[in-house]
Amino acid sequence: MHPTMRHILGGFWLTGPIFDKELRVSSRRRRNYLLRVGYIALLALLLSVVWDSTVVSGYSDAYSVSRMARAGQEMVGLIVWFQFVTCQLLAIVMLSTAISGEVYHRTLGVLMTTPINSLQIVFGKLFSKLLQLILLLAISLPLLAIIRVFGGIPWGFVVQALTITLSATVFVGALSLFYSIYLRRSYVVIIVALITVGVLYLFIPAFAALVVQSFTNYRNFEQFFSYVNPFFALVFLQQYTFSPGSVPWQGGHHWLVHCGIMLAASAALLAWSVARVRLAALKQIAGGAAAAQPSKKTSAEPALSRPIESVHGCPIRWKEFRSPLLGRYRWLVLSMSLLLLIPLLIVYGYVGAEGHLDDEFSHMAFVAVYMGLGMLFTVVIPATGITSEKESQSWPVLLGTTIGDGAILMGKFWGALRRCLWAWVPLLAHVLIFTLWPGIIHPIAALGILLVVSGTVIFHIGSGLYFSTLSKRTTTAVVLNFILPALMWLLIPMLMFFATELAHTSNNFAEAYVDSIPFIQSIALMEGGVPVSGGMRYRGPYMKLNGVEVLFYLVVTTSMYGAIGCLFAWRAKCRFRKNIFG
Amino acid sequence: MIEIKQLTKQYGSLTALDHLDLTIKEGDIFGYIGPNGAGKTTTMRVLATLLDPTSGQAFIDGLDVTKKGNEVRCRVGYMPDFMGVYDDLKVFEYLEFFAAAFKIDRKKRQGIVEGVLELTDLTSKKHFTVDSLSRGMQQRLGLARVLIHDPKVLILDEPASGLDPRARIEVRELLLELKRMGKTIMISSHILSELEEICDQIGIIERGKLVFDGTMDEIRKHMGVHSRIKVEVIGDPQRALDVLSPMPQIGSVTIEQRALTVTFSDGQENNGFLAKALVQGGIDIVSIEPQKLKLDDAFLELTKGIVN
Repeated sequence: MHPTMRHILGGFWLTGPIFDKELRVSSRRRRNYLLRVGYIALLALLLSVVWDSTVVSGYSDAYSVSRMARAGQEMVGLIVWFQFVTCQLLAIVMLSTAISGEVYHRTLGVLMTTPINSLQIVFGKLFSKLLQLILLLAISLPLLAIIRVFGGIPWGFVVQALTITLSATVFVGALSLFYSIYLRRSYVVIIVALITVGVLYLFIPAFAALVVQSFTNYRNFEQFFSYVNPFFALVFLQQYTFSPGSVPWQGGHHWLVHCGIMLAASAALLAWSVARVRLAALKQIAGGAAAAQPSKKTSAEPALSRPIESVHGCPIRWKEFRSPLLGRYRWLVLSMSLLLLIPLLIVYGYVGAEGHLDDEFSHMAFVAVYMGLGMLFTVVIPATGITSEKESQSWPVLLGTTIGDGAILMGKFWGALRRCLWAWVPLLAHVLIFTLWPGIIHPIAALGILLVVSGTVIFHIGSGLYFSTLSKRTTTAVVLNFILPALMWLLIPMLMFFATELAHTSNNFAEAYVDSIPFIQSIALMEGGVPVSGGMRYRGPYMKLNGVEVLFYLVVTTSMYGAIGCLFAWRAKCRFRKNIFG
Repeated sequence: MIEIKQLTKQYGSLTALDHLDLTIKEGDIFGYIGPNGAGKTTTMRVLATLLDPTSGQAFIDGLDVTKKGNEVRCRVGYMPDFMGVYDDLKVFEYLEFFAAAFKIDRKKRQGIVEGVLELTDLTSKKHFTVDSLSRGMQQRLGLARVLIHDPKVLILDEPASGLDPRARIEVRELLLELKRMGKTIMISSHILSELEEICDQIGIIERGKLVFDGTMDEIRKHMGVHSRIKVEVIGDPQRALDVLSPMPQIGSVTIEQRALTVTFSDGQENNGFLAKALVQGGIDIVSIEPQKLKLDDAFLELTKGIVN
């Protein structure tokens, strides 16, 4: 082969030595192997649940065999959706440190002094992480191949679904990489990327659905979003494959157009990233990592705008309360919040105009969204409490003073609480307004929400502080604090139901456990507390309660979460002086 | 003031400190020297109560660092080899924060902070945010921080690293001022020659063991290195070498760049004898200059190149 051709096809011109270095490093990281094991284990568990519920149900063998094709469809659907969601989440997490990691280690400027160009940095980073994700997709292919034997699953569907997953993964990966140029902390990149994806994939379609359905054909709306939104694309691909005719506009090459659009959007983001990465490097070279932040003050410009504040009370609490609530991005956050507030008010107006304001489903939806928002920030913020001290190397200095460990813990607790609370304002405001608005939310339901939020906040702050003392890096602590609720509120209930299915016993215990999940509790409170005229009744998966019984039950579960949170916080305190230097 | 007995610290299979014994007298400046990874920082972290030893004991002002952590922290000012900064705090607030952390009465804090700012020549920077200071200024701020609670003992881990010559001289002057104030100072550094000028006592550590502990004069005696005298002569130095070599009083004579380096066999300096011998031999002398053993030389000799 001609050397030029070999050079072009080899792809080295695109990724440079960055790709090679990233692969070399990632092969030495134990967590990548653990990730693969965890991925396969979780997938296998989910498939077992589907298999058990579809095929092994105590009927005759002939009946079980007849259910194989159905089981095959459900299992392939599960694998496809599992891959679709997991790969995108992992892409966001993996690429959140792509550029910010280089800035943090002060290597971006060094890279720029070599012949490596911005294109190679961006694509080297992107492709090395994508390769890890492709490996995850590849290790589930044998499962797909085996399940195909059951029949009823065309190869075309598998290929098309994988392509949609891959293009969506490339897009969110490019988005995360793009944010990592601007944001120094990877957990901020993860949050911002998740919010962006939430707005693009959920909020905009939901808002558009409300507005558009009054003016145009709903089918046109669905068709449009199936081109630009991978969730829609995958849903309609599945419908088209397994129920032909249900999606009349879905054609043979529809998925290709969608993937093309997603890749074009990714290319635009990557082009922007390539253009910006050099500027970030130059800023770092000019003034260290700190100078990469445009709003930083230089030594020539003393920060005279704010007077010196005197320390009062516990110094840790003083410091925590003194730091600005929204940090240096306050104007961006405020303007984005205002921007989102306008469509939100339109949604409220629309729901009101349609006469659904006293409908429990409207409030269940609102509360679910606000709970998710509150929990997102409450999971992230406390996990940064100690690791941020470690990263700024002030932790040993602080522990070298005579401040007691208890005072440090309480200072960090109040600091985390202060920064978390604003994320709960939308939920509390919603509940308060519609409780004061006669006839909509029952006061007991409102009190219940307050209890649920209290328990959740204490629990997450405690666990966040614990993981923060356990970890060296903020991102690790944040990820661990995400994994805990995922284990407690997703995996454990799933395992419980699976175990009861296998044992063919009552699932009362599993249902009672699900009842104790704050998210479920808040939804059940809205379901039973709206409208007021229906009286207060609580109908969880297991608990059926009325009136003040609900409050008693919630006080018990809140105390339980509070106690677990306090236990975590106490363990955090015990760990303060262990492994101080990481 | 500082007493270390059989101190051992292991990180898995790595022994960072190996039955270390060390005593530092009150009011002394102790220079702690060793190659990278020798155990200097580990010793300092144990003394600062931030690391528990695997075995052995360490006392500061008679207090066991592992048992009386809080009391020890009141008496110690520890400055690590990195600068822990808070992004949003101003210089004054940073120092006041640590004053509050050491439970200094609120009414006294302002005066104390002003005092250490003046001592470290940072008064003009008190409105600046900590992270906007240059490295030299940050080092000074680190010194100001360790002084805020007026500790008896200062443990300074490479306080001059990364500083320019002027800033290094300023730090050295500041340390001498602190010695005059009666502080006991333990300081580690790679700028060995600077320690030589300010330290009362030197400790050289290698692979977790103290290979030497004493004054500079004791180092010289310990190493058996005789004082050297550099002699410059007019004309061919070989002639001077021929004159001096046969004399029994002369230990060795070498020629280095047209100058002679002479040592006496009894280890003493005897410039008068040298001058007389050369003049009597018909050699014209330009200069006779005694060469002191530098700390860098002692370090290289004592560590024998076993640098990690």
